[in-house]
Amino acid sequence: MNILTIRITEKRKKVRFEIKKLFSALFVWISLIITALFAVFFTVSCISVREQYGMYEKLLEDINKSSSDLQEQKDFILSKKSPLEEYVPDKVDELRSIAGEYGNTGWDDYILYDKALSQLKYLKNFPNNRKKLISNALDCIVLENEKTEPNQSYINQNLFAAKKYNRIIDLSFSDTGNVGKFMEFFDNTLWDYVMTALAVMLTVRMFTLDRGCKANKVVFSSSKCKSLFFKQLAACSAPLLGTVVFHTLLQMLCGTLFFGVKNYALPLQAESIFEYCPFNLTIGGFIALKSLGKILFYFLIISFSALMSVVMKKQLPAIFTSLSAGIASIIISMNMYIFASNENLGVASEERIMFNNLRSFMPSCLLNPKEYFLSFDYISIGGLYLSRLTGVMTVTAVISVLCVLLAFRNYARAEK
Amino acid sequence: MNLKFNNTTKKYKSKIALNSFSAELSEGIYALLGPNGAGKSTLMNILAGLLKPSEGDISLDGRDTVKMGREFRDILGYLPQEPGFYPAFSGLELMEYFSELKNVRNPESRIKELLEFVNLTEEAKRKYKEYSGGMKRRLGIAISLLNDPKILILDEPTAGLDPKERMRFRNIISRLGSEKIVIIATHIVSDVETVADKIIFLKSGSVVGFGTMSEVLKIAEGKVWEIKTAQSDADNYALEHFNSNVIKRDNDVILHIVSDEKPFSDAVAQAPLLEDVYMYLFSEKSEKSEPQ
Repeated sequence: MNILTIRITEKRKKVRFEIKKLFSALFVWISLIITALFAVFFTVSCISVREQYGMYEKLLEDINKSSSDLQEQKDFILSKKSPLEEYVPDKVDELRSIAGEYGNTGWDDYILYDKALSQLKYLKNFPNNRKKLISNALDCIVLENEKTEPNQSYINQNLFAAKKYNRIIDLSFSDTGNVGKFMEFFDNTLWDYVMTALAVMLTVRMFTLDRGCKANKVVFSSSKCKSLFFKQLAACSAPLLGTVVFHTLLQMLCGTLFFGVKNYALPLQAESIFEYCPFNLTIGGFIALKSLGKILFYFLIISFSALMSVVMKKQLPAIFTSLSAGIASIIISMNMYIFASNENLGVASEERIMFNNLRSFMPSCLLNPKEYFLSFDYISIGGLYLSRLTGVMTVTAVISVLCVLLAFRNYARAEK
Repeated sequence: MNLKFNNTTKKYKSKIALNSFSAELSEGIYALLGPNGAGKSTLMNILAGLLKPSEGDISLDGRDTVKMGREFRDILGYLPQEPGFYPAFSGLELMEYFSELKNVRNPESRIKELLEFVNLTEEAKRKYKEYSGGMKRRLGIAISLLNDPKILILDEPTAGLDPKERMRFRNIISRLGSEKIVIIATHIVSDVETVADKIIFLKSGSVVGFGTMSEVLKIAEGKVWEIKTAQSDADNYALEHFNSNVIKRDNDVILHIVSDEKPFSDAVAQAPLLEDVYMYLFSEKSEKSEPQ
């Protein structure tokens, strides 16, 4: 006879069983393999277009050694670049055959000097552009005050903008790497659809499994049946949110290895596309906020799917409703983004205003978070200024909490 | 311990699944007998807190079981009709899982004890999906007993079991002791006639008989007859009397008939069995007339 050993530790008592329930289905493993394949695809894409940053770092080192004054640094670069100017544009091939000081060839050096000059120009103009933004805001206030009936809200808005931009952001002449580029590989719409579908499928499976295998009556007549809800919620959230965190870390690793993004503590504004970002944020902080936005969105999908599963009790209707809502919201925000990004449209166009309004409350806009960091992106609620990012995050969190509370209320409830 | 059903009623639109069920139960084994659709599972589900009654309530020692909530679930064990568990779990894992869910103290010793009780110790590590029907039922009983419930509900616990497993089940039930209220809902009379202290007959949602074995047997007293006949006549007699049981004995057959009146002049009156009471109450003839 077997000697039966039973050991139940605190750890085993928690979500382990729920995870096991979840992972007992083949489709869960297939879904996870698909997400893993996506991760591999993103990484391979990064490797295939990897950029060499070691030589640019060496050049920046020499520039910084030459002087700390921007003008002198510019002179240093020009002195290096001018001997190569005679080859451009007619004798580029010849330039490619000359050995370079920093790169492999003279042409590599020429590109690097160009890049250094444009970065230097950005660094030089940055404080002036900021000052211009502030003075424009103050000018608007003065002009508005001169009117017979000044618009106080407009004045407050400009005052707020002036305050937000009136910050010292120390941009040193250092290598930021290519922040914009490496993120492109991971900000994939197809991936968003896959993750949304995965969130729906895992959650619906978790919350309909007891009923599906007819264990629900024993489960719901047990003394701690209500607390099971949170274990099940944790069990289906863990693999999904873990995947988002894993992808973020993989993204950062790819950024470091293939796109020269080594210093995540640099201000976000060190990257020229974020020049008008009013937030006091580092590159690392920006990536963390992006992940938080995705986590919030997927958690909303999980909460909504849990609610649908608890209310509808059947797998197919719950999957259909949750998936439709999730996919539809992504399609709407994506199409609105494409629609409003038309270069022929001005910033004050109707389409752009509609898109901006949508970004204030539509959770799926969190999947394309870069938009929230490109400009002065605030809305006024009763005189209180709130960044659109905070707004949409709050809306997403509130809806998620409501879904969770409603699902919990109906979970294990006696049927009518 | 006093479990009181106060006019517990369940209506679905125009259909009444349970009609003003009232009863007071104390410690002992109760058999809830009735055909399919009589309202047995509805009553069990209401007691287990899975279904809201349309009218009436259930109280335990004067306290509403719904308001007791977790306190009531703490002392409740429920094995529903056709239960299922997670196929990928082993029997042991299921016991561990439900011991946590049922807030069992010292689960290790309790699980061991119950696996021995239902004779599944050696099979404990096998996956649930590999269990036979009988093993699944026995595991279900063990799970329903995990929290040492004061009230144990077993809904059709022997459905689909072979005779050997049913006998094993009866042995398990008879060992449950007298400190619990055990309610067994079934339509298989032989499963409960030797173990039940009291019998409740339920028909179309209403109680049509309730009492100890000797009390309910009185319902069919003077209504059970036997007649010895040749095989050739037996089929005709059986057709005339729906409530008849044909028992073959050598070349003859004995017709066991439940009827208000003596069916044949040479029929001999017999002492009723529980099955006769069941036949009497749920025969096609009595289906047509409203039960009292």
